[in-house]
Amino acid sequence: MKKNKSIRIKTGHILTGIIVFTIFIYILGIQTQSKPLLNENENSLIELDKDSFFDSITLKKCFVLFYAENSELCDVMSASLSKLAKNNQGKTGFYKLNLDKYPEYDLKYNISGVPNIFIFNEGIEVARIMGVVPEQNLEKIYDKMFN
Amino acid sequence: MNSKYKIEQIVSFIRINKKVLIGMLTGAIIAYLYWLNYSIYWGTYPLSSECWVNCIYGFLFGGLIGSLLR
Repeated sequence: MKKNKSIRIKTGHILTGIIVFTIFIYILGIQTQSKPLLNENENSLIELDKDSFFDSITLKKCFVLFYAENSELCDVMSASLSKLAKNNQGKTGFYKLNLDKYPEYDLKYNISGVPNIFIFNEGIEVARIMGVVPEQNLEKIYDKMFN
Repeated sequence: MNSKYKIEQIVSFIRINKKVLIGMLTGAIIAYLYWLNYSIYWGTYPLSSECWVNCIYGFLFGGLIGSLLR
């Protein structure tokens, strides 16, 4: 008669799994940071300035990307948001504002880092997306907020 | 006969690790809900806003709590 030998999952096994998974995610995260970027011509985000900012955010629901120059992460988010903009043209505004040129918005909206995407509804901030998120997340957020 | 033994092994595995498996499942569900409402907006660390990363962490930490409760 065969003896039933079942594996008992112990705390040590799970802790090892957590450590291994954390290291795996760290390595994978570094490798996936560089992505193909859009050309300047393909970027469908509208550049805002001090004069056009308030009019643009109060007109309709919109996404505003606060970015800095020469930032690879900001370029990645700009490309992701451009793709979302191309799929949802006309319904929602997609804008970007250079914080290096207009640093007063940094203090006004308490922006701790870039890239930072603000979602405005009639001029009021409803959500903010910090850092680099995948395109699928942006689509899910868009569907949750506007559909 | 062989398949009956395999089924007995699976049932025995589930019976022995019941609390850990329940913890893993609960952890994964809570992590998914947390991702849907909070993590989806936070990309401050690499892959921190990915659904599968959050769910696997929830799965593992849920299992850890389950193993400690045993």
